[in-house]
Amino acid sequence: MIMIFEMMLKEIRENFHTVRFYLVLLLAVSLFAAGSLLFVGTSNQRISDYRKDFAENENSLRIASQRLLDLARYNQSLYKKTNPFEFISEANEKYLPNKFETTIFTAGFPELKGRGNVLLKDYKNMDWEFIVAVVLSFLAFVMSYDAVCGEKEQKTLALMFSNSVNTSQVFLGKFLGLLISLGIPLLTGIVLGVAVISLGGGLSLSIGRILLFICASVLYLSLFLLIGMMVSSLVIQSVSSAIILLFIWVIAAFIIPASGNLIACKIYPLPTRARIVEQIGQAQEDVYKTRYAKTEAGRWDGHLDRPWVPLRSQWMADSIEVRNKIYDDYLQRMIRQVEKTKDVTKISPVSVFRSLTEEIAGTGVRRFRSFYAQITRYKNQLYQFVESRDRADPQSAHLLPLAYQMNVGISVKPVDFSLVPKFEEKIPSLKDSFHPIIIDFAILVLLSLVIFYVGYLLFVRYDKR
Amino acid sequence: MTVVGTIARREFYDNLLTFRFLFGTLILVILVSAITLVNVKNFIDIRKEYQFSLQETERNLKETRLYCQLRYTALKPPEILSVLNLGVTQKLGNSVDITLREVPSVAKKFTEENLLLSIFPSLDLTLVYKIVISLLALLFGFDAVCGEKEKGTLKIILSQNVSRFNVILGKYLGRLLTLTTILVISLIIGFLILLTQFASLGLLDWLRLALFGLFTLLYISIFLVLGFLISTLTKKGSSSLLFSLIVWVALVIILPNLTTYLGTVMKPAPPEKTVDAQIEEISRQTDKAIGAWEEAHPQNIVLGGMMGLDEWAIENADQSTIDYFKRLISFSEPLLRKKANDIWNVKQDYYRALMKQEKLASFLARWLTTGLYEEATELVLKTDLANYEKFIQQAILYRESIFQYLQSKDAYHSLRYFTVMEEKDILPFEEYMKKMWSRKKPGGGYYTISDHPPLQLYDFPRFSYQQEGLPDFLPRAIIFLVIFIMLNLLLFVASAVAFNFYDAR
Repeated sequence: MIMIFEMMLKEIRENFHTVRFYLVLLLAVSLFAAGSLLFVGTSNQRISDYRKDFAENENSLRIASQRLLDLARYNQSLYKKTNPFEFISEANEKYLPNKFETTIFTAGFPELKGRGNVLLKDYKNMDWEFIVAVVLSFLAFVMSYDAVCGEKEQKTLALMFSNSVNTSQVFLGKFLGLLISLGIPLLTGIVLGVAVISLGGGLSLSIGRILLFICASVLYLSLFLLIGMMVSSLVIQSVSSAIILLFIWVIAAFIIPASGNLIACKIYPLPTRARIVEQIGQAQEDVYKTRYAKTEAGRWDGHLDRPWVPLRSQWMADSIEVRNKIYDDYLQRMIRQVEKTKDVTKISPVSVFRSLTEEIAGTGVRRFRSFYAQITRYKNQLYQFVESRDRADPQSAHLLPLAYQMNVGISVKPVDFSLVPKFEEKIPSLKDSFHPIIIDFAILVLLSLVIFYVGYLLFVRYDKR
Repeated sequence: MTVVGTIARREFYDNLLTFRFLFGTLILVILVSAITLVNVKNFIDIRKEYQFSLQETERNLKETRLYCQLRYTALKPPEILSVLNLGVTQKLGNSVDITLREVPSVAKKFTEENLLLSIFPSLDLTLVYKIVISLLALLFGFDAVCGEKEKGTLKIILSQNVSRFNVILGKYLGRLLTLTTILVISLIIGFLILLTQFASLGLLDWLRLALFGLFTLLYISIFLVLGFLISTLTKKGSSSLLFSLIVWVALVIILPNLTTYLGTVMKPAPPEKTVDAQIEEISRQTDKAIGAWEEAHPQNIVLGGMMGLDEWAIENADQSTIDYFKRLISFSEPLLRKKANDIWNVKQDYYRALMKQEKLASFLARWLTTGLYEEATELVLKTDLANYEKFIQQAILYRESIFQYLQSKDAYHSLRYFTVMEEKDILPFEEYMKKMWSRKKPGGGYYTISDHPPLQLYDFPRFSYQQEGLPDFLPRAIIFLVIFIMLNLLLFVASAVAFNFYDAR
């Protein structure tokens, strides 16, 4: 035990005397500072944009609620909220749909509204996830590529083993030393980032999310350090070790995550939106043909008290149901396509970490899934609200589905606006994404253990002369 | 000169058998062949989609029954060279709907995809070269000087009667040749995969491919010389490697991301919302003017078919209704034309603001060489912003040619602009009313527009995309070439000077 500790201290002490350590520290600290500053600088704008959108919709909703019928027919614009934890992982939210238009009957297709400039090249925000996943993993290799073979080149390895030392303790001590040497820049950076963001004011910091992010980062960086040590114990020259590690890094950090688009289109194809619209039209026509063509449901002369009007209402209800089923199916498939693709890209630990931090920050595809679920729930809630208000009005015809296509069917009395349910997105809490977080953590732990074991075996067999 | 040649030859052979050469070649060949293969397959799918859209457009044209309903989709054929660099064009779209009511301002994609997939970046050959080969180049450069010093061979070389400049030039040429070998091998494999699918590439395309290769080579060379420079500024190979890697990660990974980000922060684009509001206002004004005219000219409208503010499609109506619409159209047509132009102007202003932001971002990125490389390859592979703009320009001109066509047919004053009726079928109100109820199709049901024969649009102008020619891109390509060469020279001179003062002991 003391042996491990001493090895660790030796490693750290040695690192403190290298330029490498200070370069890594400088890079990490400046990136965390720059990223957090940029986040603080832009977040006020984004918050006020969202508030504007929200207020606009609320105003129109208030006007619509002067007549229950208008409220039922009003097409709301519902936006994603500004996520205060985007500094942890922005997860390309700027390219993800952020808006649904929905009435109480149906929701429209997801849209991306009012963000960003399409002419610009895609870029990743300088969020903590990017700094750790891409830059610090690279620096982990930079720190560990010569952990074993470098000492051999300097002949210190043989020297060390001329004393009676325990191989496993040396290996573990080395690893811990490296981890602490890299952990110092990481933690300094995060502390600085937290300071910048909390000084920026008005932003909520979640201790739980930040702690989880630190755990995930430490685990992820240990994995990279272990890979570095493993490759280092595999080759004789440190240059070869550097070359192998750099290519592993390029493939893990860039090539595999970028292959997602191709995987998705080839393995999980999705019908186009135009095709879905067509399908909905077809299905609605079928509903009419099979159930209502022989009845008088199609008749309409402007009077609600005709005997065939309830049948028409029934027909409309069926049309809505059919439409919503196909629509929901399509959206679920759309989300599943991306989720499955993300799972495939998880052969790279970078993707695992990325997905893990997305869960921690409550961003990304899972957030979109939750956003869509909330929209659906809200739509149904508002439907029930309108229905119950309508029931209270004795003069109404109580034929709500008619309002789907026509400006008739229910009460036209005003509604108390304070009672109307309003939509505000809830960002997924840590509890909501408990399972995926555990799974991603487990993958990282498992990978680390395997690499640790293999690295250790290689180290034992390494020709230390 | 022979000295330089000797040193270069020795460097070349020495490096040819190194681990980094073999490993680098292997990785590059695997990546290039896999990515080209998948992208070529994708391209074939897109081309199928394009053919389909083309047929669809023709079919729609054949189904057109009224001039005011003319609709045509201008399509930009997919570009095979884009397999090497998907560029901005793949993001922006390649089809423009041309109608009388709208001036083209942006294109949309004819291949629509899942919006959620945009979380994955696109993968093409340029990305591989940009990242992998620049790294490889640095790995070939970092030990050029200090590595030899560590091994002690530098002293031996310099003790012979060779000038230091010749030594570093020879070293540079030898290592560049090694890298060129790797590049050429991977390029040949990439091109071969292209050729298995597309036997015919034009002469101009080959020139573009050659330029692509040349730009890549110059890009590699920059990183090689950068490695040399760092190598001459350090004493130990390990510290040279460390500095090289830090410089690389900053230049290639961190800063390019930051420049785009900075561009958006320094020059915020006006929110899309204000544009939408302006457009809404213009539409409202036009609608109001037409509404006022309609109120001032009350008319008992009796017709079959449908009508909207922008489009009138009358299947059947009486004399006075037809006359009324003739007058309405001659009043509203100029207004609607003006509305289209006004909306276009608003959109154009917005586009210009976006363009300014883009200009700033790419200006910043150019200093990092990766931005320069991306721009240059996009230019020669026809996937840059200018190419997209040219397409939109052509679409606008094409729309003008449709107007000329309509003018030549005197379409605006003809009945066929808004109704399928013939002059002789138009009846006064009483007779029309008598006849109208007896007009039923043989199989039952009422007549609609689509029961009438379509317009004879044999001589209707078709859109054909004009490829940009040599003079369109060569001058800009030469500018890029000059910048690249200048950068190379600058760095090389710097490392030669540093080497001159290098302590070789």
